[in-house]
Order: sequence, then C-alpha cells, then structure tokens
Amino acid sequence: MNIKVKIRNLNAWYEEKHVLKNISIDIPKNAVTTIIGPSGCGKTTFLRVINRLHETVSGARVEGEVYIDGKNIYDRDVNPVEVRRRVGMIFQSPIIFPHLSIYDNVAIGLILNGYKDKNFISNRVINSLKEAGLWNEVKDRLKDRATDLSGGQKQRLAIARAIALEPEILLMDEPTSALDPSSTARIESLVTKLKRIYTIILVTHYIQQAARVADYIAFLYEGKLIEYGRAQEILERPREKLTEKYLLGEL
Amino acid sequence: MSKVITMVKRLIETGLNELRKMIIDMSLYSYASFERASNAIWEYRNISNELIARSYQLMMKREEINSLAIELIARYQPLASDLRYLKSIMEIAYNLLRIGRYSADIALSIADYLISDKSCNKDILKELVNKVDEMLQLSLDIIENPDSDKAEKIYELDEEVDREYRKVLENVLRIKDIKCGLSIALIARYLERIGDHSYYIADGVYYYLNGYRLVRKW
Repeated sequence: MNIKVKIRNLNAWYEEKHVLKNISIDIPKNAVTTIIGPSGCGKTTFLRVINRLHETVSGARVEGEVYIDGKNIYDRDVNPVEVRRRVGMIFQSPIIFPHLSIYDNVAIGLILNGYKDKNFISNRVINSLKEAGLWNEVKDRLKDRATDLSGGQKQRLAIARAIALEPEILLMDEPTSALDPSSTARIESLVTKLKRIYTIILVTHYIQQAARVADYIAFLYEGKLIEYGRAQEILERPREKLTEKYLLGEL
Repeated sequence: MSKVITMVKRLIETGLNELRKMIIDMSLYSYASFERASNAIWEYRNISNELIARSYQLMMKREEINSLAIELIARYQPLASDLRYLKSIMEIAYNLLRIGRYSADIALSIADYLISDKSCNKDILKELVNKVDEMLQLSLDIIENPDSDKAEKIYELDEEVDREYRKVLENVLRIKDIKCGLSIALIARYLERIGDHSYYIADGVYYYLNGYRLVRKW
C-alpha cells in the first residue's frame, strides 16, 4: 500500500471537548477512503485536521502528527495556506459565489492563489470543469450565474474549483447529503474516476454510499478509530462488535 | 429508579425471521426426501415419481427463498452478519435442492435396477447410508441452531463419508452381477454427493457465523 497520509496519535479538541482520541491511521494514495460513524463521532473534525482547517476555529486544538508524503503538516515550518492548496475540501453544501459566473466560480480559486495569466487560468478552468464532469452541461453558458445551476451541478462546480488548484488530496464532507439520487450517482461516479488522480477521503453517514465508492473504510465512534480496513472486509465481516452493530443499524 | 430501555426492532428482522422459517421448512422437506429414498433401498419400493415430484417442490421452495432474500437485499441493502446470513441462506437453499434431487436419483436407481433383482446384496451400503444420515441431520440441525463447532464436526464426517464411499466401490468390484454392481455404485455415488452438499450447508452456516469458510479460510 502506497501511503499518502500517515496519522499518528492524533487528538483534537474544541475547548474542553475531546473530539478525536489518539487516532493512528495510514491512508493510501489514489484510493477512496471513507470515514463512517454516527453523528458527532468526529468525522468532520477528522477531515478538518488533515488540511489544518480545525485550528481556524477559536478554542480548537490539535496534538499528534499528520504526515503527507512523509512531512508532518503540523511542523512549525509548514505554511497552513500551502497545506490547504495541496488538500482541497468539498463541503456538504457547495460553496457558490452568487455574484460570480460559472466560469469565475472556478477561476476565483486560482486568482486568489496568485495566478494571473489569463490563458493559463482559462485552460485550468476548462480542464477542471471537464474533470468534474460538468463541461458538457455548461460550456455554452460559462458567463451565466452559477446560482442557476442545479444542486448536483453546484456540487460538481465546487469540485471543479477545488481541483483547479491541482491538489493532491480531496477531502469530501458528506458531498451528496443534499442531493437527489440521480445527482448523488453522478458525484459517486465522479469520485471513483477522480481517485486515479487524487487521494480521496470522504465522510459519509450513508453506509451504502461507502459500500459503493470506498476502497477503504474507517469507522469512528465517540472520537475513537474503532476499525479500519479494506471496504469489502469491513462491510462483510467486521472484526469489532461496535462496527458490526453500527452496520446492522443497532447503534 | 430502573432505566427504561426501548428496543427498536429493525425492519429487516421481519423478513429475516420469515426466511429462517422458510429455510427450516425446506430443510425438513429435503431430509424427508432423503429418508424416504434411503428406506426404499431396503424395502425395494418404487417411489421415484413421488421423489421427483418432491424435488420439484424443493425447486419452488428454493425459488421463494431466493426471491425473498433478493427482495431484502434490494430493500435494506444489508451489511455484516445480515448480508452474510442472506448469502448463506441462498447457498443452503441450493444445497437442499440438490439433496432432494439426489434422493430422487437414488429412488430412480432403485426402480431401474434393484426392484427387479432382489438377490442383490445392498448391505455394503448400510454404513455409508448411516454416515450420510448422521452428517445430514447435523447439517440440518445447525441451520436451525447455528454452531461453528458442529460445522467443523461435519467437515470431519465428510472425510469419513468419502472413505466409506471408496470402500463401497472396492466391494462393488467384487460383485459379479453387473446390474446389481451398477445400481450399488450409482446409489453410493448419490449418497456421497448428498454428503458433499451437507458439508456445503455446514460451510454456509460457518461463513455466516465467522465471515470466512471452513476450509478456505479467507
């Protein structure tokens, strides 16, 4: 297994609340790792620790090591902004800038990161829209407002914006929870395609979604990593009683 | 003050319970076919039509079990032990169907050869019939009461059945009457296959309980 993210003895707090407890895990490159677990188990915090978003909240604290390609992103010499460029994040509700066009909603990420060459930006926007599976639907209306897009299209637009920066890792926090089944299927199909280029860590509370897209599954419960392994093994024969109960809907 | 605990019944439970009843019913039906076929060996009775009809009944029971299992998979997308249970049930239903079919084959062999030749010595089959009977009963018992230790015991019994089967074939070679020898060899072969299917049932139960197979422990 080619490891992209290595986490050791990770603990995270919000004020006094200990939300992640001593987590150690190896996340493979070019695979989809899904994080499952009941509400409040620390899934989202786990993602936010990997791109150093957690520390942006007042009272939040992290201990432990998170290595990306062998470098601890919590070392003093690491710039968190650079970490966030390398580790893109897709949220539950797609972030769309309502006053910007479809094109500019993708380009904005590049512009804010200092890119100025218009041709370069244009190529990146087009390629990202293609990679996100949105190009054919928007190529004739790039100047239209992004707010005109459907929920599923907006989520793919957010993905296009994230991948325009050519991140190495994509964090997805329940990316389909607000979408209809058809849009969900498109995003899931996209996720399985994108893993050829990116390492994907996806949080979901739909176990069936994990079953459809995951190569690896990590089960979190009350801030602890209970079980982690290949998706088929976790789903068919979990080793831990707690995982079994969660999969059976008994937790 | 005592804690009040409210247990929420999972929707899939009703379907799983129904399936449990159906597979137990099918196992009893399948065993009855075997029992009738093995008794007919000693009684020179032609029950082939009856056992063929029963094997069609088993086919229908298997179809009903598969339909319900697939419906439960489609409706609830089960995982972990629920998923393993459904996979096992479908496998077990197939094996019960095969046991019924081999019982009908035994009845056909009796009808075609043994009834017309009552001098044929069938005693060499006795030990094999007893061992297969023991193995099958144990397999059917663990369908109702899943038990890994008993499943492992069935694995051992399968080896005993195979040994006994080879012994019967050696004895068949000494029978001068070809018709008699052929009928004994065929019945022995069908019994040995029933033993194999009993083992596959045990394997299915073991997989449901443990997540891996009896021999192929992956």
